[in-house]
Amino acid sequence: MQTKKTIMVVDDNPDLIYSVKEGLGSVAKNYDIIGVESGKKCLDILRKKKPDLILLDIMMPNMDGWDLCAKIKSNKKTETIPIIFLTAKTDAISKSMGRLASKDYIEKPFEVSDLNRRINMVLTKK
Amino acid sequence: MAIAENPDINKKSLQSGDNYPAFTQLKDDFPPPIINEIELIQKTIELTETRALLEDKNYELQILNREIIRQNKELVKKTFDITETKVLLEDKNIELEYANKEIFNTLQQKTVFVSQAAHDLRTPLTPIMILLPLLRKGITDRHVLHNLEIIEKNANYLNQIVNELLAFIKLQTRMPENVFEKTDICGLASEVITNNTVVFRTHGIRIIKRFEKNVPATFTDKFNMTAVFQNLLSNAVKFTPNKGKIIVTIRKIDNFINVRISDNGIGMSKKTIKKLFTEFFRADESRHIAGTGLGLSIGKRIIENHNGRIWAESRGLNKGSSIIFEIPIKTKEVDR
Repeated sequence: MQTKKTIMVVDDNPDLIYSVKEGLGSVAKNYDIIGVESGKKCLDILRKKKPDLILLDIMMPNMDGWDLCAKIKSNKKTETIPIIFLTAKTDAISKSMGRLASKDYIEKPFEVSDLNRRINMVLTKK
Repeated sequence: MAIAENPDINKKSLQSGDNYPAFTQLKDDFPPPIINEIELIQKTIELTETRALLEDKNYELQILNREIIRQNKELVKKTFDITETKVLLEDKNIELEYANKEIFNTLQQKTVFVSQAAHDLRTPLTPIMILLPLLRKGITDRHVLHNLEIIEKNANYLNQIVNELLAFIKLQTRMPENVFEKTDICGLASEVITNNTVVFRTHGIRIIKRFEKNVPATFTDKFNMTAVFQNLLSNAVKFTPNKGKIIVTIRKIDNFINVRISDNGIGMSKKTIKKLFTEFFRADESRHIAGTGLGLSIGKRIIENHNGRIWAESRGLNKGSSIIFEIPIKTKEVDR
């Protein structure tokens, strides 16, 4: 039996969190998915729990994905957690910054099978 | 009459003045005339002819003069007309320039709006695209399944439209017009470095700033200059291994600001250095690294637009590389 991997989804849209949970659940059974709707909540949970991977939205109110990514990477306890950006931002600067700052950069909308493939790639390289 | 009938006698008496006592005195005062009468008559005729000719010429000249005056008046009128037309055209030109700017601004606003709308559409599309195929799985009722298929087909179509819209906007978006403003290059470089802190940290790269004190401010196209720094730093990160280092040096050399971004990364061959700034050029040593090969050529264009130059240096493969650019120091915008 495969060990379960914990994936944290950070997005201000609860429908997106729900659909990622549903979608990933339909293609793979070895994920525990935690959904968080804000950067602040994400940091709160990270104090207690260390997920295997974070799926991170960029455009969020108060603390955006860039800020949150910087905070995660500047903390010794969380800096090694791989991050994949899940975003509707498609401009060249965001893409190149996203690819440099994180493990992957996936544009919305995406296919669940593709998301799963890319999560697997990051988790196996880790 | 007597003179005409007997010119010899008369000539003689005239010369002597004997028969005319009043001439006696004159004779002493003036030397005797040396031109004889025929010559005199000939001269008179000649002079008369010349006078007639001159009068003719004078008449002709007067006519010409009148014509010139007429033409001159016409020219003055025409010049006036042209000046008036020129002023009118200049006014029209200003109006057109203004209208052009208005159109450009409206277009820009429209592009920004459409771009924002297209991006906003992608977010709600995501759950639809994820959940719809899942929904189909448990359904056995043919009618419901058929309806779901129609919804899915249309959701896919909507997604395609959004993607086409985004591709279209990409083509429409132009570089913003060059606005030159007073820039503290060291401050600008620091800002870009700070914005990339996460990137450096993620790659375990040490970034070292070597900024000379008192580097003067200069007029630059700030927007594009920021893009140059961003691009050069991203490149340096790409070609530097984890735990490597990048040094940014800014100095004033003569009347130039000299910027050097060095890394201890994979370095470059001489062949690569030669072609580095060519559009779409991808070095053999960087085939495995993502990129379009456009960044440096755009950077070169921007630096040249500042009347500066950009070049690369490397001691060879795996010996790191440096990209250096220098721009002249401009104290006024008009200098450029």
